[in-house]
Amino acid sequence: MGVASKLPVYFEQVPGGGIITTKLEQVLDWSRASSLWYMLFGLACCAIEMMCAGASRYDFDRLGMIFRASPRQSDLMFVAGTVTHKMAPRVKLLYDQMSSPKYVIAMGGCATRGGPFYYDSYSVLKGVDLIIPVDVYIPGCPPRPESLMEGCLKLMEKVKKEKMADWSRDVRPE
Amino acid sequence: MSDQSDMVKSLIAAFPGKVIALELAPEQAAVLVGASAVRDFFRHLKSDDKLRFDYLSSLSGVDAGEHLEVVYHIFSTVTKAKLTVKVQLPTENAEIHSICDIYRATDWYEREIRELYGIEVLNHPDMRPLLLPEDWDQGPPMRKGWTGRDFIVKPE
Amino acid sequence: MDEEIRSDQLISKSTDSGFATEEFMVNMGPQHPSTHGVCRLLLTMDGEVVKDCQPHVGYLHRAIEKISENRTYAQIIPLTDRFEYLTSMACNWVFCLGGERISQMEVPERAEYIRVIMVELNRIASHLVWLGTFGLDLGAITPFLYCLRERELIMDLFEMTCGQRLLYNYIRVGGVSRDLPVGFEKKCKEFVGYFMPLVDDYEALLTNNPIFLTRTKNIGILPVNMALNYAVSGPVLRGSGLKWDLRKDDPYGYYHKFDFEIPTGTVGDTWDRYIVRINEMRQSALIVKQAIEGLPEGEFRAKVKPSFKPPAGECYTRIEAARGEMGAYIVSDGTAKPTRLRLRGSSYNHIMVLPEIVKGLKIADLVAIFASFDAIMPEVDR
Repeated sequence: MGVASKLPVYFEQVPGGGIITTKLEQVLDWSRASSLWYMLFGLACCAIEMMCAGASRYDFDRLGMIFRASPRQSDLMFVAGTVTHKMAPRVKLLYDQMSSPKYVIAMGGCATRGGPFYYDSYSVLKGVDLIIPVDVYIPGCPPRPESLMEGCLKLMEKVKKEKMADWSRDVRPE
Repeated sequence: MSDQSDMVKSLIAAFPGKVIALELAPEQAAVLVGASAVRDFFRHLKSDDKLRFDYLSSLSGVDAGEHLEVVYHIFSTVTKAKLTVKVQLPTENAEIHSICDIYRATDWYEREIRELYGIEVLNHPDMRPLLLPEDWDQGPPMRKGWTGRDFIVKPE
Repeated sequence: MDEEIRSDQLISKSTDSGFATEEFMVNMGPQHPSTHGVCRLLLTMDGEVVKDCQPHVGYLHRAIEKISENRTYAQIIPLTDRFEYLTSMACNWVFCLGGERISQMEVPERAEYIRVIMVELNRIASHLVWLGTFGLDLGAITPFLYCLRERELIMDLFEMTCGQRLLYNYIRVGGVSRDLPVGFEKKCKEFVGYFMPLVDDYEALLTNNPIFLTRTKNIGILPVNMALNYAVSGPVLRGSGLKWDLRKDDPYGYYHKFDFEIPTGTVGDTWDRYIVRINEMRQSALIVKQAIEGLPEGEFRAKVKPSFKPPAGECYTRIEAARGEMGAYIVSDGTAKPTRLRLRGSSYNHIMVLPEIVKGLKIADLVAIFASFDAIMPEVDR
């Protein structure tokens, strides 16, 4: 009862149990947020912290997140590492291959804005948001697995606020 | 070390007029080789019984301002000897012979100096770009003073 | 009634009837779970068999060498971290060794001991990641979880010392950036005591497993002559049978004070490279134990000016990192910024030799061989 009072639901006691009334959108958003499957897309150093976050001590599985190798089977892409000009078309292709609704987390300084390679580098794309829309930015070089988890939790809050009509469009509610 | 300087003296004697000794640092054997003698020199280093240089660790291009340099760092796992070989090239129309049939390790190193420094490597089997995108059209980026489209210089 | 036809007769009947096969190209990467980074392999296949393999690299070329031409020596050290992120202590060391050799600087004894401890702990951490991902590539998920559990303990030790888990910026020109914290020696000794028997546990998971043996024995044999011609180094060269380790054959630092062996393989197949790295983990733990027990008192860094300006000159230094020989060629013109920094990574040569040894093998063998080379893409692309 205490838990139900915090959720956006109507709870009614009936003989034999209870009835919960809520919007379909809430249930679907909640189920999607609790089971975000991420694509293994590690480019550079941040990929190792992503692996650590998925491994023994900081377990991603308890958040419902498991890794999938294929973009068709995942709804979240961590851009973990530096994106170079040579790699950029492939990142865009992978993003396009994911099916909607899809989310992107820019992990680390390099994916956010070029990182330590912003100045004096001729081949680094200064931020992955130049080619794909990003939902959550996680600063750090590399960000600790705890930061990564906080980023994922913020994304889950964002997903829970989504409207069904926005699922098939690549529109991010502000 | 005396055996290092003996080795350098024997190399100079084997290639008169094409090889000079360089003084880079104490205990560091180094020679400067003329660009035309590069292939014969490395063949000699590999096949000579006393030298037995079998491990070419690194090949770098250097932009030294007035000229370009190609620097080879070569070692022997048998005699534990070390040698630095430099070749000086002009900044315009720099050309060097490939040694990738003598030391297979230089295959990709030579592709790299071509795209990053603009040094043409003759008789290399595969001169496609290695590190840069295939549609790179901004010239060799490792040259001093190069600027390009997405190149932001760090302010002082 | 026709006689019974056995299934192997049926197969030979079908190929005798002249089915034609065609080669096709398969693109593996740059995003692929088992390419360990962004490496693209263009494979020409005939069924499951690889006819040709062409590696395409450069997807992580970040121009570290160009950036270093506009940075001071202290600013380049964090950049060298990103050159080989799993052994960043070694990357820092090879660069600082160059600066010290050009300026002929003496490093205090305590700093040398600390450097050895850090680099050997880093070697164990790197091999643990390798072992985890090697198992993952062959389909075994358990070694991954166990190895990363131990690696977290090493990360704790590093975090105690320099605040970072992965990219340390700890080894500086002249020594290390700060002294070991209180409690480090005790925690390190506990770790070594805890870790040594665990290597036997990892071996129990994989080494005598029949599936593992079938997938790794006599697969991807690299002959010694080919290895030297391609300048292959590290556990890959030692797996092929040549006992060559820069810690003993081209000594640097204080390795001559420690007693350790160099594990070597025999044939040069995937299994040899695996067993060499497992034994290297044991030897590294032994070196850390000796170093922490014999740690002297003293300064942790030589007196170096904040604006470090080595004299004009050049130097090529090389050390034995976890993957092989790591080299740094520094050309200094007497100013605070080097004219040229060239970083040499061992994975560059390992991927160069890959096409030579996978011809005629199946794609699953290619995955096992690639994993056994333990190549990391920033070493290739810089």
